[in-house]
Amino acid sequence: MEKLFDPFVLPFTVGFSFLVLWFVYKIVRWFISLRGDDMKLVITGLFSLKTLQALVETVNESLLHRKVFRNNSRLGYMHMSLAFGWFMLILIGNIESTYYSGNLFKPIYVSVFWRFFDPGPSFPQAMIQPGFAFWMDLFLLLVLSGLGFAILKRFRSRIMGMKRTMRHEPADRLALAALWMIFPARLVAESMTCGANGTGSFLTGSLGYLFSRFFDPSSSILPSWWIYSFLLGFFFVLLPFTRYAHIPSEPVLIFFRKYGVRLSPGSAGYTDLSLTACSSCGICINACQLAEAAPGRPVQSSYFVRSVRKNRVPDLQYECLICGRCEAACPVGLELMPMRQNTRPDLGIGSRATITGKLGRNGHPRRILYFAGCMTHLSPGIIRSMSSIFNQAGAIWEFYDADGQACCGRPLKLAGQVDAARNIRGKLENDFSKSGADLLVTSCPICYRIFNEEYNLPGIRVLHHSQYIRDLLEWNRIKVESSIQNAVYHSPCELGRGSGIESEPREIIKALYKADLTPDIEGLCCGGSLGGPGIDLATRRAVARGAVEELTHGDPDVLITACPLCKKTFSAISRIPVLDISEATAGQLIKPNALPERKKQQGNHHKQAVAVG
Amino acid sequence: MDAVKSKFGFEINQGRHIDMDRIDTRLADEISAHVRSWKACLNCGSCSATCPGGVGLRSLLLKLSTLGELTTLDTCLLCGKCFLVCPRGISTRYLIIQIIKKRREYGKAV
Repeated sequence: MEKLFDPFVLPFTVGFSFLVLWFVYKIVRWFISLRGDDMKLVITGLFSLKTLQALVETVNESLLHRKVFRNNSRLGYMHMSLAFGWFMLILIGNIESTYYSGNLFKPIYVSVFWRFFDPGPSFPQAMIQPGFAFWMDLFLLLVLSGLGFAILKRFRSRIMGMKRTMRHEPADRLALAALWMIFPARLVAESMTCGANGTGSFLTGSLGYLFSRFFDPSSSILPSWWIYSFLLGFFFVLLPFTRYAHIPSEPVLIFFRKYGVRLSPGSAGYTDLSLTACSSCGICINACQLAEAAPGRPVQSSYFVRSVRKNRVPDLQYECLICGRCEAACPVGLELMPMRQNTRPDLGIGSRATITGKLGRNGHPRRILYFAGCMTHLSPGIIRSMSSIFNQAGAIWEFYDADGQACCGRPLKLAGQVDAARNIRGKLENDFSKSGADLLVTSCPICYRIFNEEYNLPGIRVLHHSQYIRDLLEWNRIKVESSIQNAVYHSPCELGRGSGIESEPREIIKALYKADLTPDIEGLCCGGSLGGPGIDLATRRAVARGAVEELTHGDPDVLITACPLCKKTFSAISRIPVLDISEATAGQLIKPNALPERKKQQGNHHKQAVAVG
Repeated sequence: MDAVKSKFGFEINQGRHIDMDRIDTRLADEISAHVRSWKACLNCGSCSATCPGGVGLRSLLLKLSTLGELTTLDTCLLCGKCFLVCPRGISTRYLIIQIIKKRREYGKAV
């Protein structure tokens, strides 16, 4: 075989070598700037089953893009065809060149430009016998079809099921243009070679044959390969500085995540890796309700990640409601909410906050501690309802923050005041464990989430009131009458997506109402969230209006939610009544005098109170 | 001195007189550029009345242009009740964050 070199391979080789050097440097940087315990996790995980699982996940997500497929099949096909198709072209090209050259250790450009060195089988026969040439053409066709969808998405995004796409920066546009031209350039270059030699399969062979009918392709072979090589090299040099840096870094993220590394303020390496792994695909823009409520403001996660990556941290850090819809939709699985919170500086607000609460009457501890939360105090109907539910169930309970002087600390944490939040946590943990209670019921999903996720409360079960009411209903501790109205349920972000409590409130609604008209969509943001200090009232109202419109498509009679904040926000704009799930339950309670058999059970009440606890 | 004063039967309340020399609106201007909704403030005091942390946000905002000590924000819980009760819909949490942030940036210069 003649020598496997031609000067046209140089642009590619230079670009590719640069890319490899950058990638190796980055991996080392990511690893050495991990936190000490995270580093140990990676080292111990490296030789375990987790590596294999991470490999499977890499194939599923980085190549096949299964998460994107699940949400939007057209978009999934576009991403899959580009990633998987390109990967297969590289893989088959490598096998083919190794098979024919008989040399496993050859320069990388040999397999990339193999068709130039070996034009392949002759044209008409190669179309019917599926050899290497056939498979290469098939995957090139797959990539080109994905490219067609990508171009369509850029100019007519609605066809691809995207209301909005990302507005890219100049460097990203340049890289995008290079990427778009790479595959047509490859097709042309291969077709020139095939046309001149009378070889090739159905795609390159046919196009080459067509070329040879009009002109002599042999003089265009070298220029077309030069263009292809230059485009590849150009793209590889641009890659580290653009969003395409996600291509090599996403697998690294998947491996680190599988080993148990999570985003934390002290982990600079993992933060940088997460920022680099964002592909700016724009799926988060589509999920964000602020895209409708505040059009033109680049507040969505992909814009935010880009600005942090480029060391520009504007006030975007406060302009997010932390509802988590983008995080749920993110195909890379980035921890977008912690990422946003970590950029909010700790300013020492609340450093001397004092909290007072009641633990028991006359030194007698109670089994159930009720924590209403700040927001619930602005919606006293919830407190009244919970009180009547507790009493109806015969529970022995204490109202911890009856004077409204307590806070769970999560609002401070969401605003970046981590130290103050930790102080409050210490104080409350101490109080709760002193109280002797074995059940802590809260009416606020914000409190519920931090109690559940961060508080260390041995021997105390934390319940949101929707869970508590559901248990009472299931054990017949309270009875309700069913209404003839239809209800729709709004799942609060901190309760549904944040804490995974979706089914309990829905079960209560089934017991209370004729029909549950809740639409089957990802939980919406009410716009009242404490996560976004920088978002003004008008924008919040716009978010709320959009959410109510979406929820009331089925023409329900009442809107039920399970968060005082959602209730307040929706009440201000909704045309149908808005009720908290506890208010709905309390309003339809069957009073004890209507239930004569309850008196006989009186003796068992105390035991059951313990059982509920 | 006291004997002389008592003759008049009244005294001037020193604590409430307006000293134009002490007014410096630079910080307040910068903050209101960030939190534009602040301009709608009526000084109604709903925020102070609802605050579980005991922060007197109303008087704090009134005193902002005289740059007195703002230590009362140390007990703020950022719970956002003041935002919910505000009749003008002022983003009070953002206002508090910006007050602290800007004061840090200014340091002792202002």
